Parts: sequence; structure tokens; C-alpha cells
Amino acid sequence: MLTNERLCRRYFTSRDLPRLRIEVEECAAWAGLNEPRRGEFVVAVDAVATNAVEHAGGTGRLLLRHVGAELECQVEDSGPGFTEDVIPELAPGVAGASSGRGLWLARLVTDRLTVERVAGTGPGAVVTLAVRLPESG
Amino acid sequence: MPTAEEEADQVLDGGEAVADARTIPVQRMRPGDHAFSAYDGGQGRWEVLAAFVRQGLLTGEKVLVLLDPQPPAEELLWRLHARTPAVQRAWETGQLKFTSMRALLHPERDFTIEGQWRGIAEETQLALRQGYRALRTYADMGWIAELGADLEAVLRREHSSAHLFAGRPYSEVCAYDRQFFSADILGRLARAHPRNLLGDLGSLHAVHGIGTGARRSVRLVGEADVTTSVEFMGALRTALTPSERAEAARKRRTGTVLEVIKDTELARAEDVTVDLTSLHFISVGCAAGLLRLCAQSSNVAIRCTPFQARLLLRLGADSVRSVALAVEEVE
Repeated sequence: MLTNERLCRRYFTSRDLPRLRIEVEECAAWAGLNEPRRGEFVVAVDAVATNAVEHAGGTGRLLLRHVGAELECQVEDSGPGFTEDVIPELAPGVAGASSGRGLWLARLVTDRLTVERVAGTGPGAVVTLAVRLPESG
Repeated sequence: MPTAEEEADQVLDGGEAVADARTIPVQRMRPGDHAFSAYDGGQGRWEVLAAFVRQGLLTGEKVLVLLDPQPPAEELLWRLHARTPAVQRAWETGQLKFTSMRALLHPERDFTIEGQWRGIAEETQLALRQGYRALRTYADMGWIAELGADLEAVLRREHSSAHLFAGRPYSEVCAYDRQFFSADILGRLARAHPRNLLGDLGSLHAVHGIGTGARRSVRLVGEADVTTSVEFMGALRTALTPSERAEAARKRRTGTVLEVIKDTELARAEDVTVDLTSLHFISVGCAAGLLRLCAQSSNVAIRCTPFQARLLLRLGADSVRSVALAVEEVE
């Protein structure tokens, strides 16, 4: 059940990404995230979700939560798993390899991004990205 | 860039509106917009409606959804995937209201242009009194058959309703089910509206043209992401690569991309404008792909919003000597 803390939860494939972006934007606004950070958060979530459908099994599961002073998004995939090592340290550059570019941008525009293995023995990775919300009132 | 009229002349193909200057993604609907939409059966119609509803709630507008006959609210909320806290709250507080054309016209039983205008004016005033920024309405035009209305009268209404919209806190989508209207009628209806919505959420259209001077242009409309990246990159290659453009000029139309390039206008390969301002969304991958292609070209102007400019700069746009960003505010 969705609550004020658990804002959005859904499985997705590439076809669901437009609707996913709309829901993430709506929930981010509900949580108090203003533009332009809200739009950047949507771009970041799209980049992570795209990574899941392109390179990590074709499907993913998204969970968006309002946790304390943060808006946190977890994207779980069913691919072979990966680590933060795939994310370039520096800007990849226009002619650079495209690998990891989306995750690099997602890390740049959010306040926290981590990559972990899915709990248990199954395959997959969980990318968590979060932004601090402005203080209300 | 081509004028709206130049593009509009190219757009009606068998009654179906394809990308032209009046075409926008549903997320770009703003107060004052009056838009035509056509749909086939299936989920696509509901996704466009859901996006329209959510965009309105996001911008503090009151949203009316007019369906005749009117399904139960629970079914509508389910179809709109609307179980998020924001939509649920909007429905409970009345910011989102499901109703019907029959109810809007009440106490009149039959459709008249004046009666409908009066109903809209009253609802708009009510929305403003309730503290909303504006009123937006999605009207499924199934009410024409449901109320036995005269189609020619509806066409007159669509042509003559500018006073409801221009500078006013009101916007409206008129959604037509293709199975109940002929291609000819849909064409006339599309022309009667200042805006035409892209048919599907997440779709992308490209309009190629000749702008001021000898400058070529490509205008991208909709959403550029992993599902439309092939069309996106194809449209860019067509615009940026001389041989691709020559091929495009020979074909008047390819797939979902309407080509309006003229054979006599194949020169000046080096001057191209890429217009992103009608894109509701551009992904990291598509933005990076655009810059990569631009780096292989010369003298490319990218018209973009401040938000898009920031993304492009983060991806290295300032290191591509052939690119100039022309930043424009788009509400």
C-alpha cells in the first residue's frame, strides 16, 4: 500500500518508462522537491532505470520513498550484478565511452548514489539514489 | 524554422494529424491551450489522460474529466494508475473531478454551443474561486453520440471558441475515438484546434525543414529516451548528414517521421538548427548522442530550454566547438 512515506512502487520495462517518469515527478513534487532539482531527479531515475532495462535483465522494480529529510529511490534489476566501479570518476566527455555515463550523471545530480547486490543469493543489483528535500515552512 | 502555417500544410494525412508546428506532447498543455487528440482502443488513451491529469495537479490546476457515459470513479482511478498519494488526495478534495458533458450542460438537455460555453465559464470561475490556478478539461467526444449532437455544430464550436482560451485560465483536450469518426472528419477537427496532441505517451516526432536563410532545421517533439532513441538519432543524422538529407528529400515520408525537405535545399550542410524546445524529456543517452553527432558536424545551433542546456553542458556541450546553445524559456 502506498503511503506518504512509500510514494510509488512498480515493476517496469522500457515501455513503462514514460509513465514511470510522470509518477516519479508527481511524487517528488508531493514530497516537496522543487524545480530544477525535481527535473534533475527525474533524469537521474530515468538513467538508472534505463540501465536496468538495457544492461541488467530488461526489467526492474522501482521503490520511491520519503525517508526523513530525503527522497530516496531504489531501482532493483535482475541482471548479473555490478558495482560502483563501472561509474566513471570524471566526466566521460563527448567522445568517451558511453558505458556508465547515465550512472555518472545520476550520481552528479543527486546527493547519494550507491550500488549493492540484491540481498540473498539471487542475481541483480540495487541502485539507490537520494536527494535532500528542502526544509518545509 | 518553418512557420506554423507552412508546417500545418504538410500535416494532415488521411485525416490523421502528424507532427507539425501545432503538435505538442500532452505534458506541454498549459492554460490557454485548446487541443485535439485522437486515439485507438487500448491503454494509450488512458496514458495520455493520466499524464494530462497529473500535469494539471502538479501545476495547481483543477482537473475535470468528462466521459459519456461516465464509468465509476473507482474504475477510472484504476485505469489512470492513480493510487499515488497526490492523485488520491486530489480526488478526495475535488481538485480532480470525474463528470460528464451531460452534467456540464445541465439543466439543458441538449447540446448548444452557448450552453456549453456557459457551463465551461461557470466551472472556470468556480475553480478560480476555490483557489486553483486554472481549470483544465479532458472531454472524451463520445458525448456527441451520447447526446445526439450535430457534428457540424460541434465543428463550429471548435472553430469559434478562441475566447475561452486566449489569455484565459482554461485549457481543454477534445479526445476523439478513431473508430467513431471518419478520417475526413478527424482531419477537419484537427485543423479546428490550435494544438494537436501526440497520440501516444512517450512517442517522438521529428519535423525537418528549412529555416531562415539557408539554415536547415529539425524540430523534435515529445520524448527522447531509450525507447525512441533510434528515431531520435535517425532524425539527427538526417538533419546533420548531407547524404542522409538527400535520401530524406527523395522520400517524402519515412515511418513516423514526416519529411518536408525540398530537393532544391540540400546545400549548406554545415548550417543546421536542432530544436529541442518541444521535447518534454530528453534522456542522458539521447543528449550524449546528440553531442556526439554534433561533434562530427559543423555549425550546429541547438535551441533548448534552460534545463536542457544545463544537461547538455554537464555532458560536455561547451567542449564541442561546432555547437552553439540558443537557450529559450518555455513555460
